[in-house]
Parts: sequence; C-alpha cells; structure tokens
Amino acid sequence: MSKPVPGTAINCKRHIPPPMHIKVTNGMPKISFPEDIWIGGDKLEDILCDAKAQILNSTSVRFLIPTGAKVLIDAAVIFLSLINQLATNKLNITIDFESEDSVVMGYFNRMGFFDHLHSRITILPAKPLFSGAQLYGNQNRGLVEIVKINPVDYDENLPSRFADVLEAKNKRLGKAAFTIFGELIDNVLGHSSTKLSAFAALQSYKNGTMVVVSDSGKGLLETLRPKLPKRFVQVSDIDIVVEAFAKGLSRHGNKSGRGCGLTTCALKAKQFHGKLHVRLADTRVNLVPSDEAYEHDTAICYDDLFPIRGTHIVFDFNC
Amino acid sequence: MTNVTISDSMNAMNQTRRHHISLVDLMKRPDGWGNAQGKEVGALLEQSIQRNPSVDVFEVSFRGVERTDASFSRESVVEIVCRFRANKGIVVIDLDDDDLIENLELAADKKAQPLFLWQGDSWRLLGPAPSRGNVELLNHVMSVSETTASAAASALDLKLTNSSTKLKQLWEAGYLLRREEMAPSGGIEFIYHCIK
Repeated sequence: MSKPVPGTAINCKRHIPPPMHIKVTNGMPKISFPEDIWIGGDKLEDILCDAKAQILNSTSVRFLIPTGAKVLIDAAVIFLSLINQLATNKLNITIDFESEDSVVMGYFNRMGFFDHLHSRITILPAKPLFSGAQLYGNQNRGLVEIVKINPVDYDENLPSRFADVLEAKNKRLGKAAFTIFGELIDNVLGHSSTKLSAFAALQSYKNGTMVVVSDSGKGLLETLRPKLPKRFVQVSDIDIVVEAFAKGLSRHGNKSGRGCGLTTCALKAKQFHGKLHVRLADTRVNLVPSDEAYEHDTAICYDDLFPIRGTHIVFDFNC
Repeated sequence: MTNVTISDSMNAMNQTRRHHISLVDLMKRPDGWGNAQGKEVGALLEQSIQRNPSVDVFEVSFRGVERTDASFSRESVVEIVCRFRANKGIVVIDLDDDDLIENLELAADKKAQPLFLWQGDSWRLLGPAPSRGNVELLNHVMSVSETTASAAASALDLKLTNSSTKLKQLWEAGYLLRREEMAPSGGIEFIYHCIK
C-alpha cells in the first residue's frame, strides 16, 4: 500500500505493487508470502489484494509461508481470522510452511496460532505436536499469546493480563492500555454476532509494541451506519470511522451517553503517540495522531481490499 | 463501608447525612472494565443508595481501585449518579490517579452528568461545565456550602427571580442539591447546597 502522508490526502487508492508470487495449478492458486521483508498488516493487504480474484473464484487455496518469512503479530492475527472465515465458507485452505523447522511456524506455534485454527484447514508439513502457547504461555513479559474472545467463554482478567505486560515498561502506559483493551474487548463482546471467535494478542518489539483485537462479526460500519442519524447518510466510511474514534458514535443513539469506548481508546493511544489501524469489510483506515487527536487530515483510507468480515483494530505504540 | 456520618459544619436542623461506600468492595477485583462488570457494580451501588433513604450524600471511595476503563466508569458510577440526579448527591473521593479520573470524566461528559471529585476540601468538577451564565453562581455556592435565592441574589448582585431561576437550573442539572425549609416569612424556602 502507499505510505500514509500525515496532514494530507484522504481516501487513497491502493498502490498496486508488482505482481505477487501467485501460481495456479489445476485450478488451485498457490499464494507465496515474501521472505525478504517484514509482513505487517499493510503488506498482508497487498498479498491478499493481488490474489483476490484467485481466492474468491476457487474452492481450494494454498498459502506458502517460506521458512524465513517474518510476520508481525497484526498480520498473523488478521490472517488467522480471515482463513477461519474462508474455511467456514467451505473453502479448502492449506498453509504450507515448507519445513518442520520453519522459523515462522515456530513463531506461529509460540503465539498459539494453530490452537485457534478451523479444523478444515490443513497445515504442511504437519501441525506441531505440541502448542508452544500452552507450553510456555504467560512466561514472556514481552507478549500475550493469541487469546480467544468468545462472549460465552472469556477470561475476565484478559485486559489486566495485557496491561501487566505494558505496565512493566511504563506504569502509565499500563493504565492506558488497560482502558484500550477493556474497551476493545468489551466492543467485541457487545457488538460481534458470530459463531467465530474473536482474537487478541500483544507483541513487544525492539522499537515498539503492537496490540491487535480481531473479530469476525458485524463490522463497525455495519453496526453503526443503520443506527446513525439521517445527517450521516451522505457521510463517507472514513469520516464515520474518524468520528467514532475522535468524538464517539453509538448505535444506541447520542442521548444514550454511550459510544465513548473507541474515543477513549483513541485518546489513550494518542497520549503515547500510538498509531491506530482499523480494518473493516474491505476498507482499512490508518490513523496517525496529530497534536490534539486522530483527525480527518491525518487519516489514510484504503478501500476495495480483500473482503474480511468483522472489525480488526491494531494499536502500534512507539514504546 | 456502611458508616453514616453527619457533617459537623451544619447545625442540627441542616444536617447533611453522608454515607461512605468503597467501590472496590463492590468489585470482584481491583481492575474493572466493560459494560457488564460496570452494570453489576452499578446495581450494587444503587442498592447501597436505596438501602439508605435518609442519606443525602454518598461518598464513593476509589481507594484500592487499580484500573478502570470508560465503559466501566460510566456504568458503575456515572450512570448511577445520573439516576439519582437532583435527589441524592453522589461524589467521588480518594482518587488522584489521572487515568482513572480521565475515564470518569469521559463518561460524565458523554452522559452530560456533572460529578464532583473531592480531594480534602478541594473539588474538581468532572463532566460538563454549567452554562457560562451559571458558573459564577455555582462557584459561589461551592464556596459558601449553601445558600438561598435571596442570599445568592444579594451576594452576587442578581435579581431575585434571576437568582432563583439559575439555582433551580443548577439543581435540575445535577450541580447542586436542595432541601425545603420554613422561611422566616412562614412560606417554604429552598436551601441550595453543594454536593459534598
């Protein structure tokens, strides 16, 4: 995707990169992840966009993730939600890690990726015998493994667990992070209406910390749009997303006094110069904090992306 | 948690009955998040208030509360303050954590519900400020603790009807409490007092 340009244009059309490694054999597309660059949420969009037609017009798809591929946590979790959705739609999915010694497969296993995979998805060469997340879970101060969020079965201490990791870095960040996790997980519990589980995860990197909350339910816009006042009919998707984070919008109406969850998240993230990425059905909005808040002129929107159900929110803290 | 105290600053006729409630005692843990937990705690807070009908002001202590989010703050405290607006005073005490205050403030703003945070004898208003025309009068009442329309009119050089209207607006909006007393003239007089 094209890089966000702070303080300028909105609604960018996606920059189409050079053709990806997509091969079609006997009608089955094989989509290769690149090995030479970090694959974050933005790069994942490129990979999926390039393969959009092939995936949507096939009954079977193979993803090749080479052993040296470097996948960031946001891409891993959103990819997990996506392939679970595709498998639910009866698409046969294979993920080929090339080797049992694959570094990226080891990382995925440590994060609990395979613990949450739809049973229809095939892993090559083989699914790990033991879950790294279950063996070593909660033992690393720099990460929170992928956690399932299900309205009927969830860990009430989840926001505290996430906040504890960040609190070790910065006391105030821990408090702010608790608010962010609490609000986002609460949103998932209250708004997603699906049998597919939502996921959350956190990973600290050398230069920052990334948090992702990904659900496969009704997206933010699907939930909000029908309930908004008439004056929003002509308002663009990006403006609604920005409004929801900057000022607060509620499907329960303005007089309900609700709709402060996302605003609060944005406010707290902004205090730590956190970037915010919101992935909706076929749109992605990247919000970069300005001095005061997340604003329209610092938001970059990409549309016509690969269709993914739900709302997928990533906070990228520079600490 | 169940202590009811009577303000020493008031005379026997004008006693303000207070009740101390520890929020963390109503929570299962020191961290509170989300609508569901907030509503559970809010229901317990409401019960505590209803069990003490003679109390005028409930002091909700945040001592021991470690973390909250805005939804929890809204449902557990601000929503209940809103429900008892103009009837019972609910204030927050024992809170100096900026993040927790900010979450209460966001919730109070969203609900358009004033909420007083007391730190010793100093107060901070969370939520919306009163209209510009009523700010001076609110500050006056906060400084003198209680007043009548005629006393405020005389102190601030207002017309009596104007003073009376403004005090009523502040009371209805949840910035003040009031009680009825027999005026020297024999009629009923409203005593407006700060929520402390």
